[in-house]
Amino acid sequence: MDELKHAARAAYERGRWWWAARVAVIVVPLVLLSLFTATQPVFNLVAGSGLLVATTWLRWRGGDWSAAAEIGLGAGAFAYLVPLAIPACGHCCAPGTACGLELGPCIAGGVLAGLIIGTRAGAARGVAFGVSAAGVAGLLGALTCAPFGAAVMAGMAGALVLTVGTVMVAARA
Amino acid sequence: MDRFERAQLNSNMARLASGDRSAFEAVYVVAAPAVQRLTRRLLRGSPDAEDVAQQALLKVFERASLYDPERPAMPWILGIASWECRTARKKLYRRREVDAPIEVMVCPGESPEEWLVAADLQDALHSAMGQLGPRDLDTLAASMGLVPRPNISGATFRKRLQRAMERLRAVWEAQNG
Repeated sequence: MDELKHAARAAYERGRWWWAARVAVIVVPLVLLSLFTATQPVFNLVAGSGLLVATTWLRWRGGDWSAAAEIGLGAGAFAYLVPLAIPACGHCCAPGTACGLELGPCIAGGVLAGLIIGTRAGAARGVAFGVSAAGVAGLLGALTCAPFGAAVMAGMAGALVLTVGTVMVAARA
Repeated sequence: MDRFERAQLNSNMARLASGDRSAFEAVYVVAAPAVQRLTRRLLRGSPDAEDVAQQALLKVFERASLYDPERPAMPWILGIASWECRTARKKLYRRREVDAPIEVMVCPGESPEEWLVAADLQDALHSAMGQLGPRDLDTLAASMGLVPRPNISGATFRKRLQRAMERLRAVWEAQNG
């Protein structure tokens, strides 16, 4: 009987990993798409792998961790998409060339993502939720901010973290 | 299974689906016997029944993360188990090890849970009636029109029927609470 219970437990964990890994259906296309604008594809592949591992692990853990992965991906989509739109609107700073004006949209993407995460975290969810979701959103945003340089990427990440922190502190006040 | 137990199972299954491992034990103690009962009934007489019961139970837990908390848990669990049985029984039928595929054992439109409850009740009734004497059995059968009514007055028959029902109720309560 105990053997069967152990087998059932193992089956549950196995099923949970499969369920968690299904996030690859969203993450892998986003990483592949980012490769079109990437100046350092190795960075995108490493960050993309990190994003896949992180989201799979968070979903496997379940509860608030799983919600952090999902909200982080949803919010991170803004940080991911805004830099992609820069070359599309005919601006001078195409990926690989930096003219200083690309910092604004990347920071705006970070702030927008931070607002969503901070609002969803509110007062009910803990710091771990905010950190996990911000990490996921940051990794996703880094995929398209990276071509504009480390300073732009740091600006996006800083804006994201500051916004999440401010909104969460405000919600608890 | 009463309404409270159902609600408990639904809530525990929802917790397990969301990744709360502390709900595993509570789901297991309810799901394991139910799946084993259903499988043994559906594969009655098959030497593979135990193996299929275990496989069905593992399948239920493997798919636990896919459970939709809006749905009642027990029909979902038994649905997976009965599908496993159906597959196993089809294999056995092809090998001529059982006399019928599962389709003829479960009425169309009847859920595995309803079928299991009905089969359990039928077994419990058979067991309780086995404790009654031949005269009580004849009286009950005659009251349901299964055999001709004995050549006695209506009042006597009603008295016999009342006593038979009382004895059946007493046996039922002793056996099933």
